[in-house]
Amino acid sequence: MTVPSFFFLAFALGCALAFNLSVARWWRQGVLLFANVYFLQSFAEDWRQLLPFAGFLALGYAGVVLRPRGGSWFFLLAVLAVFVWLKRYLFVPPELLLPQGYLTVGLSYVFFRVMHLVIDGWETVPKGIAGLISYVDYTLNFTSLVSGPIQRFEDYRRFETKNLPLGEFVIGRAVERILIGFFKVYILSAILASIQGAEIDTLSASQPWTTRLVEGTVIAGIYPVYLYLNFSGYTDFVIGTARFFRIELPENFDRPFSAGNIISFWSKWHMSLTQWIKTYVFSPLLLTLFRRFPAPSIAPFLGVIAFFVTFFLVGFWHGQTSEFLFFGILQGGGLAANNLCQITLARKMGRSGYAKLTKNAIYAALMRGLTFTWFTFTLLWFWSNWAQLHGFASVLGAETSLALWLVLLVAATAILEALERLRLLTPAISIAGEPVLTSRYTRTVLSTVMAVTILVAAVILSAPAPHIVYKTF
Amino acid sequence: MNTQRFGSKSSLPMAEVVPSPRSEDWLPKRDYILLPLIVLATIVLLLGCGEILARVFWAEHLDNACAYQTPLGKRFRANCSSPEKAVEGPWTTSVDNECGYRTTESCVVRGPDQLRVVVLGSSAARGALVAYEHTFAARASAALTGACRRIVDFQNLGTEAADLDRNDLRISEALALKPTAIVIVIGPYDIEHLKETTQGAATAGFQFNLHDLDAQLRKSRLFLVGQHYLYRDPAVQIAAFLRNGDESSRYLQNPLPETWRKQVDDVGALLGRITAQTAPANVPVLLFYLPTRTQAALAISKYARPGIDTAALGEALRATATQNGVAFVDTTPDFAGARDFGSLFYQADGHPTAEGHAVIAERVESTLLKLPAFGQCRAFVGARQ
Repeated sequence: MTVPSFFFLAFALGCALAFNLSVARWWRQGVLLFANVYFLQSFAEDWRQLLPFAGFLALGYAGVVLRPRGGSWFFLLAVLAVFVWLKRYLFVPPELLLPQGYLTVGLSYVFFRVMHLVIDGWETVPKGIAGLISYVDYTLNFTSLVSGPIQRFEDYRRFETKNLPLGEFVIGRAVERILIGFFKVYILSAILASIQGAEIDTLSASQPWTTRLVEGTVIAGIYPVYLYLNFSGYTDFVIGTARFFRIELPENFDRPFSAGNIISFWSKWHMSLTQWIKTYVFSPLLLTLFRRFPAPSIAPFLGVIAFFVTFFLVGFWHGQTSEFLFFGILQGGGLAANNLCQITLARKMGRSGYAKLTKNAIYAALMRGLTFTWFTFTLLWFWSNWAQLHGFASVLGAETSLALWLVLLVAATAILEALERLRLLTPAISIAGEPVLTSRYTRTVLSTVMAVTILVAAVILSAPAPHIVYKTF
Repeated sequence: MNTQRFGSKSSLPMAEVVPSPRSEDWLPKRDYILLPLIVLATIVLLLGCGEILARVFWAEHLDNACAYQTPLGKRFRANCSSPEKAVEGPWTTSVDNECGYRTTESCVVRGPDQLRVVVLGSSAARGALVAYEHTFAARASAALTGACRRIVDFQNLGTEAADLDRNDLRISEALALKPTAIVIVIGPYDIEHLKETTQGAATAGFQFNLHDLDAQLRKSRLFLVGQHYLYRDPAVQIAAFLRNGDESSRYLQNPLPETWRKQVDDVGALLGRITAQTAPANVPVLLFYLPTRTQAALAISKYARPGIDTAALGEALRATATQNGVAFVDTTPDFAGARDFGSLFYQADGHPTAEGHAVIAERVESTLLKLPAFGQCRAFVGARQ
């Protein structure tokens, strides 16, 4: 079953209807359990493909249940090892890998949930059979199985213990969110993907310099926007869908391209992953480093190391190839360099001087553009491989490649600044003190336009639902 | 607050808090009317804009400027040309020769050694919405000229479905052209409208009713464009056709329903009137049956449906044609077996495309080659192979 798709939507709404027929906890848990298991098995061609997944879940549950009796490190390492083994990371010897095909859809996100429970969520998991159902419903939650967001167990438990309201406003917002998500994925990201594909097809060394420069800039610059629309569209869709089950999934994006530096960017991009990694990698690592190297003079630089290690892992988590290894180095390196710059500038200019600089409009706009450009650069190892990169480099040449990033920096700075100003202007447009663009009447118009566009596009394109990039991670 | 854990037997298995609806959870009363109206107005506006855009980007030009009405049906002015375009197709120019036939060859000049085929039928026979060189008549003419090593021209007298029943009145005009053979192309739409006349249709008054509104909506450009894309998948077109279920869709039943039997009998009567004139002149008449896109799709095994007989109408026509001394050819298997089925018809319009005409041309060519008059051509083709 593809997410998002009309079929998934129909399935989810059917289940939500059954779910809301009764407030009895056993009923709701049962309906969700059915939906979760049905959804998961829809990806498998054979029940045997589900066995490794089931084994992983069982290991996690054993960790949760047996945690009070000790051996938490054993379970932590076991869950991590089995995850790495099942995901076939490149450093796992091939002879150790399972020979047959098996299901790994959503395994990364299940891993994050299981690790969270084994580390510090185990106390909140109920005992007995109800606890097992609760564990399965939480880890396999079909609305967020494929690509998150990563919800904490205590937040998920609110749905089981509290009957969150599902009034007209909530339904309206959920429907709007689903439409926005669908529109981002089905229309906007599909258009951008086709533009990028067409530009890649036409790019050649025989083209004039300016054409190559423009096409190269479009090819590189379009991808982060595409990825954002694709992933945030998926997130909007599942957050809206989950609301019909009275589940409030966490947000994953907060206008990431408005970030003024790469550290801030990662606090606005894939937020649930950043939060998880901050809780379970960055903070413990920093604490360990502080304990190991207590000298106050080097304390600020320990953060640089922690940033590098943490975001190297974030980058490398995305894939199993050497390209993703390099992507991880770039992410970790970027954040470490960013942190080092902050420390250096704060030391040289003083805290107030540095704070004043960050509030300077030109500096802020330039940093926004630079952050976007850096992220775009790192993404080259995310969407292409070494051979393709070599191909692009030979077609573009060194001069054009350099000019490309300068053009992208200038364009991104100007466009993002314009968007920021437009965003600040939006609430100012009002009638009788009421903002116009964010009123529910305007939003109804926009939602209707999106719904009609989606339906028309679905008919015209009659193509399968678009590919969600993060589904593969 | 109840802090029960799962598995506890002492408390009710209910969610803890069932909050009463808060005022902010509900819309103000006016919004129950306003919001649906906004949705409706937006849809109407979008459809209106869509219709305008569809008319701009999907032009249609079906009225042939050369056509004029006579008591015997529609005719085309001599040496006249007119642009034509289906919503789904390219712009084409329809050119008529000095006799008003859609043929580049002269109808007056006929060499002693020349072979000539006269085409009768409706718009599909005329090659409407397709460039002349792509029509089956032009293709077959070129292929047969090559095969026979002498000119084989096709004088295309095709007009429209409503004139089909009066085609017997054109036989003397056709025979005056000294044809080697007469080819009639007919499809289910033609058979269904056999007893209608253009004059009759023109005198029918306009009465507004819901059916008219539905018909007008179906004629909207946006609807046609939508239909074009929807019907790219033949399965969708088949589903729509079967759901329609009215009399016009029952020609795929075996046995044919009474209405269709009667219409086949009418075709038989027309063929009888035609052969009564052609037999003394010893001109063979060939009837080619052209299926609808749905019918051809249903003849493909992967789209076949139980209870549907794609050959029923063809077989009934074959019987009546044979009875009247007319050779019959059903092109349904040719269309069903064609390599790129999706390109053979304009999905929404229904007429065969250039590729569809190529399928007909091949069958027309191979059938004509079997006639005694084309015996010499067979010898050349055999020698070439």
